[in-house]
Amino acid sequence: VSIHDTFSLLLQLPAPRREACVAAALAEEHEAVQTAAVNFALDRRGDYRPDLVVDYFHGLLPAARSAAAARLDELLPIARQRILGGHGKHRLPAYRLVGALGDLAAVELLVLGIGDAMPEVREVAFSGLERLLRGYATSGANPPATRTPAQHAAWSALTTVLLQFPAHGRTGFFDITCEFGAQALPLVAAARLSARDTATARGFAKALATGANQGAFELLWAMLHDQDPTTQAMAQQLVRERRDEPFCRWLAEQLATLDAERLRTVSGPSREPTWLPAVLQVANQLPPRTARTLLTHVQGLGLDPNAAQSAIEPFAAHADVAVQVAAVQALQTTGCPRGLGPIERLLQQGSGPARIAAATLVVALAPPQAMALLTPLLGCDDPTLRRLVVGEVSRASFERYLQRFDGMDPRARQVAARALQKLDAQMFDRLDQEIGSLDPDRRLKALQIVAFLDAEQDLRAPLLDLLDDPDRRVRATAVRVVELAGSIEGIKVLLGALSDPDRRVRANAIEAFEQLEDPRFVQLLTPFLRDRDNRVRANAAKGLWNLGWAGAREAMLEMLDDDDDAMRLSAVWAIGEVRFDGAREQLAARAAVECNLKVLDKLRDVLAHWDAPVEAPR
Amino acid sequence: MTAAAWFLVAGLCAVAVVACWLHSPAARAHRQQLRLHRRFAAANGLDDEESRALWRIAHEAGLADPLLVYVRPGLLEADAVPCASAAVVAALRRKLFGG
Repeated sequence: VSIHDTFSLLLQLPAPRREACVAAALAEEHEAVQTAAVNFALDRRGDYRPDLVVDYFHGLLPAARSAAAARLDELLPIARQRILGGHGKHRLPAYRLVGALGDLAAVELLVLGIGDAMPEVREVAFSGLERLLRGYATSGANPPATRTPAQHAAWSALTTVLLQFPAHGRTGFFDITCEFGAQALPLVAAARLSARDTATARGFAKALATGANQGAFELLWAMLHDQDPTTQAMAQQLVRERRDEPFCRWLAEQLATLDAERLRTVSGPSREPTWLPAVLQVANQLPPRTARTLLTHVQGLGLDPNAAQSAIEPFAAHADVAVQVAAVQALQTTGCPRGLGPIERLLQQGSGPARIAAATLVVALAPPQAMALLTPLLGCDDPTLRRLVVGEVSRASFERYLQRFDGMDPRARQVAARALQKLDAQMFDRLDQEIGSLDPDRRLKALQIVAFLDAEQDLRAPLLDLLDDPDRRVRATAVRVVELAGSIEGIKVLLGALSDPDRRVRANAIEAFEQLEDPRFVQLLTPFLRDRDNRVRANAAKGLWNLGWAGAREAMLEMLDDDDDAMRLSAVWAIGEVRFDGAREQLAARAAVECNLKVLDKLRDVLAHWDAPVEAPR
Repeated sequence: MTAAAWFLVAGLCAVAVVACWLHSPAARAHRQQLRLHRRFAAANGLDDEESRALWRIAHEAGLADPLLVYVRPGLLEADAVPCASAAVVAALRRKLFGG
């Protein structure tokens, strides 16, 4: 109240004394005094001295400055007049007022100041321009067609200060330019083309490399699509180097909206696109739809397996299950040459579908550590995953069984085969595959396993094919294993086997006819009593005896007296099998005169076990 | 001349000098400033002691116009104003500038 009393009394003073008091009050660092002085100077009932407010504006404290700002429309004409008036000492305060309070229309005045002889004026002009242009940029730049004269002036001023960057060195204008977003693309081109010095290029590059606002992102994006290769190359370089999360996320969102053709445009000349590092930086934080789209983009890049795996793995760490699954499926196409680190994590910590996908990948790639990765999942709750893992573990166990088959004794082979059958519901499918294997050893093993499991009926169809197998061991075993009764096709095969050049095939075929227990086959088998091979002949004799042909007895006794040791050995075996009346005595008599130790041992063995039940056929 | 005459002449001269000074432009200006000061002081509710102290402060600050002291609170901000007590200075700050 007292200050107002003082100022009301000032009206009683002569004008010069009033001016001195108002000027002193405006210069005093006291808000109330300054505010009262501003109001007094702008009171049209008094002296009305807006020029004093302009002159002392720079030193006004906030409250007084607000009081002056409220009357800006009265102050700006004074300031404008002083700026345009030339070189008087008052232009600096005028610039200060315009720089601090002027609106976008004041840009034209401030541009005049950037070339002023006084460094203080230049400083004020640049600061004011920065404030006004930044405000314009923040409020959102409009396209040229809709710009007001003041906005056109602002763009013009921005162009001017950018082109003069080497002289003033104010990098803030690059940031402001970036804030204008894609609208500033012509400015970038103009500045780049006209500014041949590296300082300007560096300044722009730095602003674009660090600009964290939407405008900077949009400008960089617009540069990526620019027709000018130099501008595009500059943008690609910047995109390649940026790793800040907001930009990376924004870029990823934009990339996800592109089709393949436009994606190629922004990807750059090298095989690994410029945007890939930025996208991978945030791959696990993107919205699921975006992540899946980008994953598809990454798959379409045609990267080498190592690079592709590196590019896909970050997506596997996404929280969304669908993205995880898509990433795992994509990884499968790479073959995972860099290892299975992320897959291991998904197997241990992933949710249902992702774990299934990861397990499927392990099964498909069959890495050395597959069993170590899958075995812990045998007890998992998910029935689909459990089925998958059990199947794979069984397959691997079956494979290992086949590998060790040759080193096992017959008893161990049979025990192991039956144990595997209990664990593995797909055992017959695996045997079916093995029967169709190109490797005869594998086919032979499969046949033997079929015999262990009594699975001839279950695998009849593929087994029949083995009767014509090119490998004689396989054929011989197949003839023995395959149940042919009741099958015309089987009988035909057996008849063919009787004339097989391999003695074991013939022998086994004869044994098979014996098992048919049909006396009509006697005539068919009698010629084999004259076969050169001892085993064929012994099998024929035994088979004919079992089919009820009495002449078989004489044939066996004739073999027992044969000069050929092998023939006598087979005769001992056959007689021991059929045990016709008087056979024991015949064998004992032969033992008394037998000279061959091997035959003698066989004779003793058969006689020693004579009272024991007859063993199952070989 | 007697001593009394000398004393009389000297007295008349002194009166003349004082009269001359009192009617000089500087003296008139001083009286006018003082009158205005008293008017401003009264308008701001200052008592005689405060008014005198403010007058002295203005003069000691060497202000071209003593009335400027009414718009320059900075002159009362010093830790110790030599020509006025702290209580008077505080009263002046409060009455003139509200703090």
